[in-house]
Amino acid sequence: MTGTVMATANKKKPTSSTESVLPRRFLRQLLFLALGSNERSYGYELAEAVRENGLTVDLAGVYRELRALEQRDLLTSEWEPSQNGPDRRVYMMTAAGKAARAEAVESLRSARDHLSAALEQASDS
Amino acid sequence: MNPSGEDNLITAPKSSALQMLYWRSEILQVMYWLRGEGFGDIVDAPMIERFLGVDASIGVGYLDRLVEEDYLTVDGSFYALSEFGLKQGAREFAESFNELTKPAHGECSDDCWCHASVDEADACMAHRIEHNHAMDAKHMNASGEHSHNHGDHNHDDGHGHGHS
Repeated sequence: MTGTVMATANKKKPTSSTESVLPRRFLRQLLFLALGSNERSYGYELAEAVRENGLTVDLAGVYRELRALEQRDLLTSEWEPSQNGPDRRVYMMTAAGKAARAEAVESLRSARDHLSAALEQASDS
Repeated sequence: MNPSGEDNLITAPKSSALQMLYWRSEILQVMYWLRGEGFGDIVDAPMIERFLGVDASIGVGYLDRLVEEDYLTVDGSFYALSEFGLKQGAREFAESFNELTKPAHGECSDDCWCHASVDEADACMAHRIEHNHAMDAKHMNASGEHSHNHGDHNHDDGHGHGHS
């Protein structure tokens, strides 16, 4: 075993959770919501924002979704140098991303309205 | 956009020459990313599978290759960035591979790997020929006669050539 590995082996590893209020299909929309609240966003804070909005997803899922959005030119990212720690990947929405975000918001509103109507109907019956 | 979010698999090139470069870039970027997010810099093959979508049994081969090239160190089934790997720097690495992955010209979609490499262009051509032969055979079976239509070469065959 090398010293480098010994030094890093006890560090926290990404974990996954199995419980989620929302289905995974909302990941992209929720990421858009989180991305819209800041000019520049980091992966971990995006994952946290998604979790706070009811979708539990592991960091690998967020990473892959961010890569997919980047490949579609909806996001752009760069390594941000840090004086105190490692460089961090920072994500920014493109113009196309902002348009996709507006669609995502509309899609979520529509889903909410349909669910609200369905729940009202269910409670009346 | 697929609302299910299931279309987010990262697309690798088909030719073996580019694949090694591609996965080296992807693996190191994940490791830099995890490090930047405060999760340390160790990975194992299942983690690479979860993050990149490459089968773990294949991913471990790429990880071992990165050990041979001194980018990583290994302890059992866990791999860590070496000092050399760290020194490469994420930005420098990303820049060098951005050049490699830029689309230029060709028959395929703009983001096809064939624009970046002769090997990949050969692989695309071979795939098109194979696909067109398969389509010809299908037409022959359907109509009972040989079709001379060799397709439009747009890679619109549902086999992931859109490289989305």
